[in-house]
Formats: sequence, structure tokens, C-alpha cells
Amino acid sequence: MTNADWTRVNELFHQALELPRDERGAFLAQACGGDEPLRLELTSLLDAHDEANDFIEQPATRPADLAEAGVSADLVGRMIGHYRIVRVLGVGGMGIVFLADDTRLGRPVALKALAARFTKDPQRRERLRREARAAAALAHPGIATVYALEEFDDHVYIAGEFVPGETLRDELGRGPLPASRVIDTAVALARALEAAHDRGVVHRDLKPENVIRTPAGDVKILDFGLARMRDLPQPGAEITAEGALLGTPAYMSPEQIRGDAVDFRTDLFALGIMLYELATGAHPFVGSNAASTIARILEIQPPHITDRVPAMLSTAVGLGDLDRIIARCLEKHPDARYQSTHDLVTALEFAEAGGAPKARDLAEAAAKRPLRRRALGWWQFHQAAASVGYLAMLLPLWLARSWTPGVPDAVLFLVGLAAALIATTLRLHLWFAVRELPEESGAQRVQAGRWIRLADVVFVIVLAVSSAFAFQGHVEMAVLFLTAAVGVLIAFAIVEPATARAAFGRPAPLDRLGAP
Amino acid sequence: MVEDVYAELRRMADRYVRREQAKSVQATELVHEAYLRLLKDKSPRWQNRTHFLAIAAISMRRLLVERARARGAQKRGGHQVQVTLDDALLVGQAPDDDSSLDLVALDRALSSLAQLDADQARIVELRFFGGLSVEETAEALAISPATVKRHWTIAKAWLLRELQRTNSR
Repeated sequence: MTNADWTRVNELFHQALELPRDERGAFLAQACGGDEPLRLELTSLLDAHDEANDFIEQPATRPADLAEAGVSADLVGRMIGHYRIVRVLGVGGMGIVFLADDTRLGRPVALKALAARFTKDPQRRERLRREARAAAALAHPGIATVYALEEFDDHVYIAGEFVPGETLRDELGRGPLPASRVIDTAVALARALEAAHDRGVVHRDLKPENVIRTPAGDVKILDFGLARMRDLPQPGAEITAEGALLGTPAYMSPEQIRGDAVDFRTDLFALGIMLYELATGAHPFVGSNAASTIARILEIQPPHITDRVPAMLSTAVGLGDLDRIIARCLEKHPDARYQSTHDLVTALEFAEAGGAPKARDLAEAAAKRPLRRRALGWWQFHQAAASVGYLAMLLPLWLARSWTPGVPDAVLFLVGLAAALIATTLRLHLWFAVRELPEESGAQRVQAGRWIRLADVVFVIVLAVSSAFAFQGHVEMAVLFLTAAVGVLIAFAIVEPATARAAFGRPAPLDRLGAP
Repeated sequence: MVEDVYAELRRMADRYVRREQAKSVQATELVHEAYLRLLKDKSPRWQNRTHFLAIAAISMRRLLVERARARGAQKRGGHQVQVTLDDALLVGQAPDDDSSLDLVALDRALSSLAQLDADQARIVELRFFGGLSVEETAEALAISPATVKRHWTIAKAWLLRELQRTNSR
């Protein structure tokens, strides 16, 4: 057949495919016009097409999940040691996970059968035992417990706590979570990580598939330390990079991808990716295939979550804090991330409490939150009242502008006007910042606070001097000025620091910055 | 360039086999890793990742077919490769006889198809051996996804028929 013939075959083939099956014969007979070889060629191709089904539809480079699952299906109902296999829970990079019945202790377990390639070498197996021991030593409500390392018929199994619920991956399938829920989840995960990291156990394969949300709403991390076993090099082998590349690269840290030394900060990176996903519904780095994902993890700075969350969620309390925390976790260089998991926990707790000082006790923080909102109201009221008071005092100052022998008219008034405008403008600005830019409001309060304090002092002086001048003939006005000066003094020395402290929890910047 | 990628994939596959003392290599691992190594190589020979994947597909085809052929030769002749579990991991096919795929025969049929229609053979290479999606294939070949689908449909039918003929012979 020549290439021209093939072009013709192509045309007729696709035309025939458009037709219902029973009309194709007639169509071909007519279209081929007596060219019998052409008709036979087309008929056989159409037959093959009907049979093709999934022929070569699964690429040769597809991960081996299905092959392993296919092999495992006939194990259901059988006994492995004293475990009765109930069903397949999943297939991972290391092997198959079954739900099994521990017939000795009568409890359900997740039984992970490790693929032979991870366990063949005796030295690898020895390290596997050691890693399992380390993982079994982790006791934390946020970590699925490892019960036992079992060896039956030359196969290695890890029996662990069976955690019912759905994975974070399932949860992600329904879209992003509100910021407050992301933060709650983040605190729980970070605490679990902290418990493991304190014992020197690094997860190394943290991803939404490895986190389960129980029906009670708690989160549990699965497979702690197991990734380590997977990546163990053969004794004497030079590279761990190959090992690190098993499985999906989407949650790998840059150092993991490069094959550099990996420590707990790799878990922080993976956690950052998960939190990003939970908050925005989108993975920060994932590309259309593994290679592009890898390149993006190494090179791309993901957009702020505040730019990616749906508009209706974007003003949520805590989102700004969360954005900063996630960005810190996602730093390319481990040295730029949190330098201890405890720091991360602290930062998250801080965000959870809405910018309050480190809340050791979550319940306590939760109890405080409504109070703080009310306190914030008082602070705002104070700012507004102070502003109105300043502006109101401008009228008597204007009336008194020429009662100043020896001083040009209106100088005092103009100084007072300037101070009042500065103080008022900055207070309104702070009000706005606290409402709309909560994540920046701390810095704003420090900066603006300095000038507000200066303007307050100047205004008090103006009032005091005006009062002194007014005593010659305008006693009632003098009293008014004096009273106002004392009022302002009380307001900024006592009331404002108190409301600020109540609203923001910290020693208020306005208070601290009173003196230069 | 193809040679570079191929050599890299080969070396890695061999090392895996030696290291693991098993014959199983997940093809995706190889491709990730080859990509990484070549990424470190600063010379801008890779225009983009599609370009890389397109080249990796050629290498993957050679690697897989070569391994299948070696396995077949071990079993004293006969090109029908018995697919073992390890091979199944490699090829991503369930190891029951019906669906086991004769990679050597597929390779030969694909070469014949290339004589007839080079584009169609290339599409199969990219999609089956390279794991590219329809869209990525279209991008790599600078044709429309619709054209890729049309070509893919008939190429599949043609290849299946060739394989059936080989088997019945």
C-alpha cells in the first residue's frame, strides 16, 4: 500500500465510523467501487477498531497501581499469619494496604504488604525493622499508630491502626476549606509533626492521601517514617536520589528532588503545599505531568493564597497570617523555613487566636475570642470619640485665636489644627487597617502610633497654652481648654493603651512608644 | 539528543536492576529521573518539557522493547513475551494472558506503520511509550488535538490488526 492509498483509507475509515454499524458494509461496497483489496482493508480495520477497547490506551509509563491491585484481589478472605484480609484499602508506592482483622486481638488493622523489592535484601530488611521500631514509638493522637512489623512467608507486613474516615484528598475534591478550618487542621497536623520530629522521625512523604479526617473531625497522619524505608539505599550505594523519586513528586521538597540531605524541614514544605491546597483548592506547583511539576517545585514562587481564594472567602480572619505561614513553609531553601516545628506550631496557634499572644491552651484562646471582638469595638469607639473630640475643640481654638498677646493671631490655632488633623487622619487610617488589613495592622499601629502620640502631645500643649492665655478675661473658655487638655492626657495615657491591649492582646504599641 | 536521553535511561535502569536485585523498574521513575538529570545540565537543549517528553518517549520505547526482547531471548526463542509480575510493573498491564502485550511485536508493527504514516506512528509513540496526553501530543507535534484523536483511532485499529495477524501466523 502506498502513502496515497493510506490517505484514502483514512478518509473512508473515518467516514464509515460516523455511520451506524449496520450501514458500514453498504457504504464501503459503494465507496470502494469494486476495489476489493481496499474494501477488505477497511473492513478489517473497522473490525479491529470495534475490538480495540483499551488496547494500548494505558501508556507503558503508567504507574503500576492496577497491576498490583489486580494481583491482590484474590487475597481477600485469606489469612496472612493471624490476620484475615477483609478488603483492599489502597495501593501505594510501597505495596498494597489491606483492611484486615487481627484475629488474636480482635481489632481491625491496616495491614500493609510491602512489595518484595523493598524487602529482599537482608540488610534493607534490618533497617526496615529499625525504622518500624522508631515509627512504633510515636504515640500521638494525630498519628496513626504502628502496631507491629510482621514477617510471614518471606514477605514483610506492617500492621497499624485502622483509621476510618476520608483522606484530605477526598476532602479536597469538594473544594477549598474556609481559612479558620484550614488553620485548625494546620494546627493539628503541625502538632502531630512536632511530636514525631521531637523523636527524630521525619515523614518524608506527607501528602493529602496520607492524612485521614476521622468522622469526629480530627486528622491523623498515616505512614509515619515508612517513606524512609522506601528510600533506604543499599548499603554502600552512593545515591538516595533515585529512592526519593519513587512515587509522586507533587509533594516533594526541592532538597528531596535534588537528592540532598532531607530533614524535618522537608515535612514542613509538604505541609505548606497541603495547606495551600486546602486554602485555595489548587496545588501551588503541579503541572500537567511529573516533569513539569518537578521543574515548578524547583523554580516557581506560587502566588499568594490571598490572591487565589474565592472572593467570598478572601476577607476571612486569619487568611493573611496563613498566607505568611504557608509562604514560609514553601521557601525553596530549608534554612529559610521555620527552624523548628515548634515555631510553626506557635505561629499557627497565633494565627488561630487571631493575632493574640501564644495561646497555650486552645480552649482558652477560643473562650477569649468573642471577648476580644468586643474589646476591638471599644478600641474603635475610642478612636472615633478621640477624633470627634479633637475636631470639636477646633471651634473654641478658632474663637480664641486672637487672645494671645505677643503671639501673632491664629498661630496656636494653626498648630492645633495641624495636630488635630494628623491625629484624626491617622486614627481613621488605623481603624481602616485593623478592619481591612488585619495582617498588617500590627506594623501599622507601631508606625502610625508614633505620629499619633506626637500629635496628641502637641495638641495637649496647644490646649494648655490657650488655657493660660484665656484666663485673662475668658475664664470659662480657659476652663474648657484645661479640661480638654486633661481629658486628652487621660485618654492617651490610660484609656487608649487599655483598649488597645484588650483589643490586640499585646502591650499596645501606642503605649510603648509614648516617649521617644 | 535522543541518544543522551536513551543512554541516561539505560544507565538508570541497569543500576536499578543491579541495586534492587529485581527486574522491576517503574517507567515513570526513570522518566522523572532522566528529566532531572538533564535539567541540571545547563545547556539549553531542551526547548521545553513537551520537547523533552517527546524525546523521552523514543528512549522509553527502545528501553522497554529491548528489555522485553532480552526476556524473550532468555526464554529460548519465541517473541511472545511471557509477562511476569515484574514486567507487569514495568508495562503497567495486568499479568493475565489475555491482556499481556507483546511489546516486541508492537514495536515491529509500529515501525511498519511509520512507513505508511510517520505522524501516526509518532503519535502512538508519544501516547503509549511517552505517556503524553492527547493535548500534549498535539503540542509536541504542532497539530490540533482533534487530528491527534483521528490519527490515534485508526493507528490503534491498524496496530491491533497487525498484532492479531502476527499472532495467528
